[in-house]
Amino acid sequence: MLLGRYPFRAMGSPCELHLYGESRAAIDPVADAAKALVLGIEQKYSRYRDDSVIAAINRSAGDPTGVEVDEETASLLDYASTAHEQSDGLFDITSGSLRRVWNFKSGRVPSQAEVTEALGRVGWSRVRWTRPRIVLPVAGMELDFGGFGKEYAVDLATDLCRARGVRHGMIDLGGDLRAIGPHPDGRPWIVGIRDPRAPERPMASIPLFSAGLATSGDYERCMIVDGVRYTHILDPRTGWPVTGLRSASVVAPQCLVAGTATTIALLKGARGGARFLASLGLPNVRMDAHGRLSGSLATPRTKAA
Amino acid sequence: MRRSRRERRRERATLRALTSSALALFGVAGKASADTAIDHVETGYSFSTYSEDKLEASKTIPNGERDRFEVSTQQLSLAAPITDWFDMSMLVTHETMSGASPWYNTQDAAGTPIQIMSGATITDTRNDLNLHANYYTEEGRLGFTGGYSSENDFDSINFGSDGELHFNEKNTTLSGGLGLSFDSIHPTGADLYTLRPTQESKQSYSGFLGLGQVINRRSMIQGSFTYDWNKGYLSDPYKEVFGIGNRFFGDDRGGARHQFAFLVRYNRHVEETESTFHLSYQYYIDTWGVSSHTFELDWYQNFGDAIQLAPHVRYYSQTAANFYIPYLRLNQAPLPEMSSDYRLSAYGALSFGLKGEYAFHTPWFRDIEWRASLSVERYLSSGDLSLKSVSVPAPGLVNFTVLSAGLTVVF
Amino acid sequence: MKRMARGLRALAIASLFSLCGCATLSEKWDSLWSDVKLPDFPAFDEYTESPKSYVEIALEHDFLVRVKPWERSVLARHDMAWDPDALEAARRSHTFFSKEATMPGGSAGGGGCGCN
Repeated sequence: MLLGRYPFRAMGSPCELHLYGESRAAIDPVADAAKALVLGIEQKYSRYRDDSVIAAINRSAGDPTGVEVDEETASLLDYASTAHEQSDGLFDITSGSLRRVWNFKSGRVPSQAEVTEALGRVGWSRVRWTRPRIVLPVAGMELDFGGFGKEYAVDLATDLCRARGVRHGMIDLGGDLRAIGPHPDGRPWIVGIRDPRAPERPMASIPLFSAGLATSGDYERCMIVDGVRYTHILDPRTGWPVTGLRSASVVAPQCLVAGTATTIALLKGARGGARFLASLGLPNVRMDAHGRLSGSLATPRTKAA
Repeated sequence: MRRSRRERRRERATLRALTSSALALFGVAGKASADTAIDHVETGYSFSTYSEDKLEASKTIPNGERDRFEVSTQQLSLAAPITDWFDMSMLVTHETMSGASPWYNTQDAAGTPIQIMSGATITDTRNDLNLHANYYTEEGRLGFTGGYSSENDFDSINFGSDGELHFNEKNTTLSGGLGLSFDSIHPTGADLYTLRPTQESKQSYSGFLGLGQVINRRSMIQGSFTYDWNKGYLSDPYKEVFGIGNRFFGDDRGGARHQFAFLVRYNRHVEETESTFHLSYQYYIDTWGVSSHTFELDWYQNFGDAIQLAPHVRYYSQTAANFYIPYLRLNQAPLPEMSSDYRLSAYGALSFGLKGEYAFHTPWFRDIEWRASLSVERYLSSGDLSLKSVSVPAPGLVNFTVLSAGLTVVF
Repeated sequence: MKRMARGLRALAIASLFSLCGCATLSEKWDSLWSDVKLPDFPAFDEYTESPKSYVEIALEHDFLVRVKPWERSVLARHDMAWDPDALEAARRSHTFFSKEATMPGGSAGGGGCGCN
């Protein structure tokens, strides 16, 4: 068995497929198919492309007839709807338009009036979604699948590799991972979660056998204005950033569920996020604002997943 | 910081809701667990020889025929996918049988039953063709089979259908099948032997139902029930029942037989030693009064990807048919049903075997997988091996050895 | 020969039964050692709806688990099929059928032959 590594770039992140196979001839086509699948999802749901499904939906904002969507998009919207409901409105795929008032490059904090006005274009509860038709009633509303598109692609790519006979491997799309299966000798994939304070040293090492792992953090984008730290984690109900956990990583059978859990955890604030993860019943590790680690994966003795 | 039970229950519900929604999503997007047809063409050839031990001198008349049966079999198989959900397979068998076979029992000077073999050695050829087609759906498989078998004194045509239904993400499997067989018997030498029928027919109707369950990642278990109804000519035209006083009667087993078999099997893979073992037990009973127990253990020991050694042991014990009788005593009237066939007597059998398999790839213009195998099995039967002690074991009980070699090629 | 046969018979039955026992026990044995592995499924106690701590999972074992499609790598092994070598199984079954009074279970119909 040999290990093929296939790096590429997709969804704005560095991605890599690690696939085990009998020969390059056996795994190259699987890798190509998986890459094509990921790039296909990116193209289909990209905010930046005019020909994507998301762009078509966003263009219809304000139009009462809305847009009819295909099976896959419908199921993704159903998932987003479930996540919105289960998180009391924190997981909201319409919150992307808040980006316009929170421009981190400008280093400017918006006024409350601007935020309130922007909130008028945010809210999944405003969206009329009756399969297969979606209506964004307010002009300027937009959907953004960026919050779960990568995790979804990870799971689909894993299913594809398994269906093509690859039983050992790992899919890494910019830090959202899923183990197709452990190494052929049975050893798990060991994934290190980077410590934002000391990037060379992992703050947790997580063994994966066949589950998915997703990480959310607030340390990538933020701005500090007048000594106050504003993160890019925006609460869709208030329009203001949430200061809570610095990072959260969750292991779940599907990377999609793991990613949703980390997103919700970061949105719930410092104590709410920790309690949410603790009670969810999934292996996780989280770092609070003071840099303290907690969660079942935080102990030095690693547990497998 | 105590959270209410209600809050905790909600969070569990959250994960469940997300997970089932995600699974529904992946049900749409990817179908990983459906059954599909085989995805490669497979062909195989095997050769095997079966030879019975000579009859012990003490078990027959002095200078009597002691040679027994020898069979050599060749098989050719081919299986190929037609579409994603349909595949077919074919099996051709050519068998040559020769030797003497048991004819009747009588008693020796001490009054112990002895076996008399038929003097003439029979040479017979059997050709068999069997075709099978499978249809696959999301839920399972449906198969159809048909076959024709022909030898000098026997022809048979058979049809059957079988299938499986999967539940619980293929963790539970319901299987079942029905089969019909129509046989035509025209024994050789019927003109020479008055007791031998010239033309007879036999029909069999059978069905089975099974339930299989995955226990965990490395083991599974299956239970099944099989029923078979045979009617028509069920006796052996070449065997006779001898009555002391030089009387001969035909082997007569009546015109109907209902058979029931209950089978349990268990497979378990042992990761630490890279081996798998199979364990099975069958209880059988029929309306002829025969009941039997069969225990089987197969151990597959793997050495890397290429070599597999599989020893196996089988223990079998049966009771006698109601009408089994070695011979009729002086002045004993013939019974409506009687047979002296040792195969209907009470006895036990133990067999040991070893199979070695070697698998290799040849990556020429396509990646071809080859599997070569060699196996040997030794079968011993005797009254002493039976679970219940046997007072007078049949003198014709047989021991045999089977040697086979096979090659399978997967394209 | 009689004594040897009886001895062989007793040995065969004893070893087959003890292997059955070992198989059952090994199911339990293995799960005791799996405390290092977390399950790949959400750890709910469906009846009491209380979260499981990882110590709890280590000590109890799920005897019957629902194996996910992607966890079937062992179950899909060639030697885990009911009849890994279907041809040989059919041949052996045919041989025993022609020398014994029993029919093989688990399948219906199939080829007839003049052997019984």
